[in-house]
Amino acid sequence: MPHWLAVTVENSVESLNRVFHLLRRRHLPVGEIFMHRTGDPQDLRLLIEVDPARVDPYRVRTNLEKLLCVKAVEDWRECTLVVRDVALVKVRAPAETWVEIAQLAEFYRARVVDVGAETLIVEVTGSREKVDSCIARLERFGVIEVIRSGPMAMVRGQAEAALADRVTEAAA
Amino acid sequence: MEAATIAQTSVISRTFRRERRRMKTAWAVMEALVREGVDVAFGLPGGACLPLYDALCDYPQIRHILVRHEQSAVHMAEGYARATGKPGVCFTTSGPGATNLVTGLTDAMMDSTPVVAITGQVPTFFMGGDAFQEADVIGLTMSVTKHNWLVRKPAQAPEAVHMAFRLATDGRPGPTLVDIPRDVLLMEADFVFEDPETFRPSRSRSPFPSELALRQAADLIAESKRPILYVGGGAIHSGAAPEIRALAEKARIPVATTLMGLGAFPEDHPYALKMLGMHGTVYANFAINFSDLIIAVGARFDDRVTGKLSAFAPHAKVIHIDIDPSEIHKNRRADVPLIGDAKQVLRALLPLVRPPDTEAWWRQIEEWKSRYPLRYRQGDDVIKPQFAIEMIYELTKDYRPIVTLDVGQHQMWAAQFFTWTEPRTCITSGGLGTMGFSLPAAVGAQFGRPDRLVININGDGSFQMTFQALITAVEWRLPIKVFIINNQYLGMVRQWQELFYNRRYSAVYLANPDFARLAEAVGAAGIRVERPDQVEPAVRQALAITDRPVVVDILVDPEENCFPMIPSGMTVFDMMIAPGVKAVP
Repeated sequence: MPHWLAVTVENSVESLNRVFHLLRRRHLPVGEIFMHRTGDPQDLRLLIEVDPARVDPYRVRTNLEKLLCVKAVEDWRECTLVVRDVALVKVRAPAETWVEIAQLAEFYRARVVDVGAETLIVEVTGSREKVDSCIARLERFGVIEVIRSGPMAMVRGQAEAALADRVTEAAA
Repeated sequence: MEAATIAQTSVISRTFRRERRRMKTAWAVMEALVREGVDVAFGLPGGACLPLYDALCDYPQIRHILVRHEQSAVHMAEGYARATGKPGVCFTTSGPGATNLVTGLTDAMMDSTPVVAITGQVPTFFMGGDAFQEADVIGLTMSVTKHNWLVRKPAQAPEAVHMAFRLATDGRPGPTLVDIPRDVLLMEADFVFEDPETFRPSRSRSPFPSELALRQAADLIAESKRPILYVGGGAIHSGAAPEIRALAEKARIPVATTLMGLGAFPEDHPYALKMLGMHGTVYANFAINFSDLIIAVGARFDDRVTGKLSAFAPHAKVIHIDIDPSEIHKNRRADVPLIGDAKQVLRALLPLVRPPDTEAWWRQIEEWKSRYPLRYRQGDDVIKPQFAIEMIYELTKDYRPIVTLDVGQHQMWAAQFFTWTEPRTCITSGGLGTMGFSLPAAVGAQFGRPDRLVININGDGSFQMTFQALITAVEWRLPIKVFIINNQYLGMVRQWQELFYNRRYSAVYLANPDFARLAEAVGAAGIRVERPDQVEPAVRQALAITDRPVVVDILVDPEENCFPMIPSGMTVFDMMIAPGVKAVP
């Protein structure tokens, strides 16, 4: 599981600009970033992957926390997470391949959500590996386009935010 | 009696009723500024901010100081803020007016100086379309402000102004900017004015270390054999000078300050090691590098202090006191981080502190001090810059002047040869190293502290960068003393070319104007000094002129070098005390 910081920010172009601008100008070498809506339309949640070998997650967190548009930064390193990725995969699909594709989709508990003249769209949900694998299996039919959410994650069974400040705690 | 009156006035000026009034946005901005206690603003008008300047006519309590270049406005605001501790305010128009602020805002960001900039913007219906004098000021200043606001609706204006003030001083101070389009400035609306203190960033935090962390710090101090206090500009922002002195005296710990920390500990105190770092004293640099415990107070382990970071103070544990959590572990891992306001943290720490045994440590430091004092040799013919600076110090020290320093050799010599004893008396550009900072900063400092003598020690190169600020000083008859340490070179660059580029001088010679006559031309007094025996009378003459600025052009040895010096990226073992001569611990 990657080491993620979950960052809740105001849902606006300006606030995203500020977050990405900060990461760039502080030369904080973060990994992949995923962005999701939350239950509150005013918020967005970013999952920012950090590699402690390259950058101290504490540094990323404390810098982000200086931005007014950042509402919360949670360090999820020690959390158990539910992680889901959603992908829509458009495959080349003449009528004679439909059954085969539908069967394949079933193995992955995926669904065909659009039927075109020459194409099908398959929706697949699950772990990153499962989605990767499903897309790989669909390749032989001819994948035209893939769009995926990237990992959406939530901490399991915890009522409080994971705000533990390990760095200052370690020193204390 | 006087103190009581001031306290009373401040209580009155801080008590606000919630008020609803109808007016144009530009007037509401002025109302908000008045509620923030703003009495002076530095700026230059232009098309987009004309409504602001129109409103200014109705607010005589805000004195507007007209600059001749917007860069000066922001440096003046910085000088005002650094001398008083209150945010400095500047106004400019859109486009070039605002872009001219960028250097000063960056300077304020690097040196944690509270500055509030209010910029006019092209009307909302033109924005994004490359209108005349349009610039993406929010985008341009995002990196160099703590936060900036684009006001799109009238009602947002007072809130943005109040938030800009809160944020500029909240936690680690710094610059903020409010950008207001012209059409918004002209809109009429019902404004609700609240007590400015009710505006707080939603996540305003006042971090404070745990009792456990404070005890750990106290234990580290008690166990140390070779402790040192390393004091930076944060100590001055926090007003922690008395607590630093108390800690030093209680635990018998030597104190080295950074350039930004000069004045946070009195240098006439026996525990003072003066400035450390690239051009710091030999004994301060030896002391920190051979220490076993560094107590950093409002300092950030800047490269000009540490040199080669991996070799810096290799045996020292670190107690790092800073209000900004992101400074902890940034350059140097802290063994005990104490996150909070330096003054409050030190107050909490002091009762826990048990003095360590530092007898042997002090013997070593005294030995370094006697072996490597700051020195220079003044002959009969050419003025040594150190001599001129020492003379300025000796003849002005009884006035307890506020001194602004520019950037370069003269800055380092002044840092070395003044005896800094009081916070907020040394105002210089430390982090960004902005040539041209000091003259406008002196103007701002004088507006902030009209009761104090303000001295500007400048270089011939840096003076020419913001010379126009002198015209503003003349207009307001400010009795600022400007001393130009004139070596007819970009001196520090020349020194580096001499030492590290085989003396191949490239673009460093300055064909200077006659600065004394230039000063006279704009209505200031001008004095030119060429021989050592003329320095003292010139300084005395300058002190006697009190109805206008004075520029004293002091021609000094063109090729004098600034030592000691730890070359960039090197270690204390590479510290030069003369060309080719290294200090030996």
